Amino acid sequence: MTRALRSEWIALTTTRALLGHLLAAVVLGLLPLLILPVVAQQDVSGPGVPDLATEAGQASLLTTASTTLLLAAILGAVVSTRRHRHRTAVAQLLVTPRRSVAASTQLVVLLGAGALLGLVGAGVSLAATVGGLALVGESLAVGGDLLLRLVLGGVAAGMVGAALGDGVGELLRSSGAAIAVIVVLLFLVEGLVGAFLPEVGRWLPSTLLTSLQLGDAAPSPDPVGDGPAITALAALVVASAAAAVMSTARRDAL
Amino acid sequence: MNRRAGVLVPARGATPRRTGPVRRGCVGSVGCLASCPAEEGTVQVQVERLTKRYGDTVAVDELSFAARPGRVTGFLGRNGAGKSTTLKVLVGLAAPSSGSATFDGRRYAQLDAAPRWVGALLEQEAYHPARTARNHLRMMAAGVGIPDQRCDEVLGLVGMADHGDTRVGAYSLGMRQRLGLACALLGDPPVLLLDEPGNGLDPQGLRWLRNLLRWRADQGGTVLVSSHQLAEVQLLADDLVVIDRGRLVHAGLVDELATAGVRVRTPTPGPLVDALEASGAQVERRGEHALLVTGVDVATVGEAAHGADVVLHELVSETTSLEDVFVGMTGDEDQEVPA
Repeated sequence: MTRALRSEWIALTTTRALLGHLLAAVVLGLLPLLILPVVAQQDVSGPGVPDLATEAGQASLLTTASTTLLLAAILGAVVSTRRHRHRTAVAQLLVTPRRSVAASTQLVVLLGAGALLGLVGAGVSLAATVGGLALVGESLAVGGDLLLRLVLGGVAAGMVGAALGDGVGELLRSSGAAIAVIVVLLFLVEGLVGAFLPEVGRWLPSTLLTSLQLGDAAPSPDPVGDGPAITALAALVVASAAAAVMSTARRDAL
Repeated sequence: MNRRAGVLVPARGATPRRTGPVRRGCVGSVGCLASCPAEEGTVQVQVERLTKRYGDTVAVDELSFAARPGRVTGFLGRNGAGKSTTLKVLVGLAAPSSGSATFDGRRYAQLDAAPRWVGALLEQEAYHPARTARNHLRMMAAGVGIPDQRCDEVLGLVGMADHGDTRVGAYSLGMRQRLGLACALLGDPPVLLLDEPGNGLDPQGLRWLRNLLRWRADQGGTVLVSSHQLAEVQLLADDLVVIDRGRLVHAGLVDELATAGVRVRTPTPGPLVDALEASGAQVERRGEHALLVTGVDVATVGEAAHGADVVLHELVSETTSLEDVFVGMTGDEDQEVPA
């Protein structure tokens, strides 16, 4: 298993996929630098405009759950589908012929990559927010506990996204189709369900991860709480992993 | 050989099945590790009543044959005959509908560190275009615990030492083919399964490949080569497996297949014909003094002539091209020349 993991890690890090997504995470993490000067000139009572003097207001700028979830899901989908497009699944299965082991190591490596993506996104976002606040004459008001939540929540978002992308990618084996499904699920479906069925919407992954990151500062009127959120997200990871493993195990590689 | 939870594990001093000559050495020094099975014995490839269906299409139909250690086995068939499918089933990339494809009775997935047992070249385009050749090899080597140094060795072996850091997307077909051969040789395995390995190779490359495969077989390796280059197969292979529409058409020695008969010229054919027919040979008269003898080898004909006290003016083993034999076996429909 260790050898297979090392092989998978080399496979992941010797193309531009991971680096490209890390760069995207950095660029998205830098957005507070652009947003903060604009927000500083707005009326703080306006809807959706964070109050930069409060912990909750600053934390809302630091939330990376949705973007990390999407980026990591796209990374997972790209990595899993490109194996079939470029037929590198052949080399993978020649080296690791037991399909369940091959699929599991791919998932474990993608979970690690997703965690890295979440960590980088949260770290850059924090640095950009601190810098942006300094530019507008404010200082960081977010406490240590909330900072820890923001970082760990970002890591969780990366891992959940990577697993989701891997599962969808292995099922569809087409990059375009997998990315389209992910975008529709995470943006369109989650947005519509959140708007029209809020009781259901609070159980969807972006909302769960945002509530995990922000805790009491979450914008959701009725967050599900940490325990249920972690359980629901873990179930999503397990379901995605099962889909990836079963698809790999049951279908011919070529 | 140890069994560990149903897995074939190469062990020091173990002998899988010595059905051929023992290898005297390996291609690469670094690849010859303590647990390298290539040093320990030889492995037979066995396909038994293999059937593979894709929906209603039968790609391989009750196919049985063996590729033996110490031999190069040519695997021939027309496009779509089922050769590549058979090789994919052998290495577990496709699941059989029924039957089995094994290495000394073990499926590929049951071999511990399988690339140390079986080297396979199946797809010419199975590389990420943005990955370098060295990194592709490193990825495979890491999966079976082969040191990175071996990657440079096999790159050198296939004449790609200067191109290891080039992205595969920039490679020509021949370079990709050489990289595929490097992948197959990475674990210095006793078995090589090669699907059209000569595609894209220049004449020097083809000669190098022929020498390499001959050498591997002479060292006790089992080499199964699928190819359309029949002249190359005739030069290289010892045994031949021919399939058509997924079914076995012929399995046997290349020499048997490519020998049309023994051509004899004698001023007194009568007594020789009687002697040959008595020994079970089939004799075809070709003019007043010439005969074509089939069913026996040239030595038997010579001995029969000596026994019948017949003077010979010519005694030649007449061969035919593998292409003629192949077309004769598999037909030439769908191959019309456009008007």
